[in-house]
Amino acid sequence: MQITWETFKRCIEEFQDLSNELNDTWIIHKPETEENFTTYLTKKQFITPKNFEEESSIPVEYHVMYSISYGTPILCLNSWRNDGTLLTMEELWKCLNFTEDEDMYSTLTQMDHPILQRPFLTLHPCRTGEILENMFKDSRNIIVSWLSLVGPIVKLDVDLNYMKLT
Amino acid sequence: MSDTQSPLQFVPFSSCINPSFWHKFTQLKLDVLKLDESTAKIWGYYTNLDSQMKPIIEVDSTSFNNYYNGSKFYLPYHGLLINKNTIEEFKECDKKNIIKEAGDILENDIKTGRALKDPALLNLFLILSYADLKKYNFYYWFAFPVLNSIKPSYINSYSITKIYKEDELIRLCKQYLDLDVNNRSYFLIETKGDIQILNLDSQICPNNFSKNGNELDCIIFAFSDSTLQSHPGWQLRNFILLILYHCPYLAGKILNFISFRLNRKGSEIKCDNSIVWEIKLPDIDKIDIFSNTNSTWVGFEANERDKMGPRLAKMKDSMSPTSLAEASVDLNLKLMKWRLLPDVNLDKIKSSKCLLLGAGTLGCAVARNLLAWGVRTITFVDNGTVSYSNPVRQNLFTFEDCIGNKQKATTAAENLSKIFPGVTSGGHNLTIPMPGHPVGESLLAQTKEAYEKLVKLISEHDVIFLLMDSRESRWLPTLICASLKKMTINAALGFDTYLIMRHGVNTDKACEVAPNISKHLKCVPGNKLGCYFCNDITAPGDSLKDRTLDQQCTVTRPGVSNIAAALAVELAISVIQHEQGPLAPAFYTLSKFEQDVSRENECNLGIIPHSIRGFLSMFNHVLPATERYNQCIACSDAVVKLYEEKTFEFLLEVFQKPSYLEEVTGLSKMYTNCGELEDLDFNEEDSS
Repeated sequence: MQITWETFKRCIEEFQDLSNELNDTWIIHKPETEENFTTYLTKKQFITPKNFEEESSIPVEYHVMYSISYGTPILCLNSWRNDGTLLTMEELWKCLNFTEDEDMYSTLTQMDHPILQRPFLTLHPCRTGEILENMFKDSRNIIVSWLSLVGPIVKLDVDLNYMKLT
Repeated sequence: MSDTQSPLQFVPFSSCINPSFWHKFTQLKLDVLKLDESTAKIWGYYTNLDSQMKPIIEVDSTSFNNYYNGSKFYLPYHGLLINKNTIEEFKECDKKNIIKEAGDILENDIKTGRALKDPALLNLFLILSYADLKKYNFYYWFAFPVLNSIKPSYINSYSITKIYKEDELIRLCKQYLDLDVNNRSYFLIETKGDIQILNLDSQICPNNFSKNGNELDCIIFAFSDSTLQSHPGWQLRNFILLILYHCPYLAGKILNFISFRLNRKGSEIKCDNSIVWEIKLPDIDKIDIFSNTNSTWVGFEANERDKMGPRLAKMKDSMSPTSLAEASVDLNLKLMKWRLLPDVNLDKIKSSKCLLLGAGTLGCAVARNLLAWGVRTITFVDNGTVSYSNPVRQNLFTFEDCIGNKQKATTAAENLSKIFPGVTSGGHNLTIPMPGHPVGESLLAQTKEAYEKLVKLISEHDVIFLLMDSRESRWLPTLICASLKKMTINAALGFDTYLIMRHGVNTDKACEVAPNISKHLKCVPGNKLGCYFCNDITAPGDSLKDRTLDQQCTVTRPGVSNIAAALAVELAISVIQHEQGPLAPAFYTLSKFEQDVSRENECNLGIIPHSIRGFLSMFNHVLPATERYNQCIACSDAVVKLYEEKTFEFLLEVFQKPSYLEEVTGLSKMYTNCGELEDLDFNEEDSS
């Protein structure tokens, strides 16, 4: 199932409004010239990985964007050390407790951020359409439904309060 | 309550730089600041919500904004960016003076009372930096200036829940969140009557010597810090400084401070994590605070090795376009490894050095396909210049290249680097000596030099592609490759036909392969495979008389060269992937009906043919495999042996008189035996 850009935009705007109400920290980014497909939702949080040698806690930034080619939302994330150098994909996998046999290659892979054009670890969108179709066809806010399902894979928990949007 | 006094300890900040900070800084440095070394004002951010153990101060691309617009629950830190233009200046500048200059700003903000009105001014940090933008190396050193002479003592500490009831805490938290962001870092809590948050300047008058200290009895000093530790954050040091200066009557007194720490409970924000500190202020005279000779501004951050020194961020991997291109190309190939070909050895491909003899339609297309496979060393050899007819077919050239009459080999190499800067490409303008092209006295030195250069190039590379437009120019490289036992891939074009072939590599090493699996299936081990010349029974000479596929070399259907080049590269990659490399056996069926070739000796990419012959008129391929011809004029033992013994002397003789090769190999004898050669209906396609 594909969703339109308009649906996506409505969903993330609702999401952010509720985030403000809930004292959550999601932020909508809109470019100055508000073109289609360039608005996206982000959140930054610190995680404390068990098995990462260098830091006690590391920042992780999550981006929810619209994929024109898939017609679905996509979730990207990046993490960095305190000097600004990015964690490699393998390091980030490790921080997220992925193991080799979890087929991490087809789940989380590096792709270019469709708006920033920089490499981000991306939850591969090829099956998102299927998930939306099978599970959330009747959701009023499909972004909330989808994100609460896939977010936890990358340590992004969506508060239960958001469910009232669905 | 305990009476023991010990020096109060503070938790210093840890800097955390968002990559976007370096991106923005680079852009500003290149476009706006340039060589300007004056101090720039920036913003840092910290939060007291759900803090970690380490208090973190963050900078990102918005740090360079004129006005503070930090995210929700973040608080401002005023920053000074002091960037030096050379590493020497960065190393040699007076660090004490730099932090003192920042301290002077603080001193001024405190003395004038500005910091009472706008308490966020007490939050001051600096970054001393040097940016090596060629290497994307950023040297930096954070400092959070404080006066080292202010030494309060620790008396006691306990949770805020001990002094306030739950409903009071809820009210306190609500009032806190309603505060302007600049007043959140430092504020007062009035405890008499209803609990109430007050701004600093509502209770503390600047320089008010006469005010009675008793007035502040029901006031608790609060500040937002961002740590979970059982010590107050660094911020408290400048807060105490401010209090001592404006309320000198409090010197030596015991005061209550609160570390205001927020935590999230579901969607609610609480302040239960806050801690009350009982602290004895130092007994210090107001006059002495800033002017004391022992007062020094300190606060540089220790580096990752816990030493007092700068840090280095190497941002090349995420900032240099060249590095990004390399990483992306590799990643694209890795995707293949992850999903489709887990066994593919990409490093083996990446490290293979490829020599392309010929930089025409085939050479250009082969180079691009190699690039796509991740090959990083590609060298061209050609003796021509780019002509007006070339760019439309030869995909590394443009119209501009024709105008300057540029050399093909070097131009192809340059343009390849433009496509992908990560490639090590080279071009050599070189005429390959050919049989039947006599070498006179005047050309002797030049020919010898060309020969030696060719030998050198071939020995320095791992895979040699023969992509020239004439048959006789392939002879010498074939021979040299046979002698040096190099992996050789040959591609030749007809009008609508093409031949791609890997030459056999003649080693004594026995190849592990069952010779003939079934009566329909023939197998030739890699060390027994023939070369391009093995099917010919004449020495190469003047190509106009030749009968091979490439006799009309330059007149081809345009797609032919692209197809052939792609197949040549895929064949090479398959051979590289096979565990036996060029010694991989080649299978082919004898019967048209048995297409089910044994897959036992294939590599992870499939089977490896000896040669691929394509016919565009039929859009089909055949995969013949042929054995080395023991009278071959290029790769037979007799020729290779003679060449290895006499080298250039032998070659000279061949250049002068190609029929010499026929004598060496015994072909002449065969002619005599066979009678008229013209009657021999030799058709290469039938040999399959």
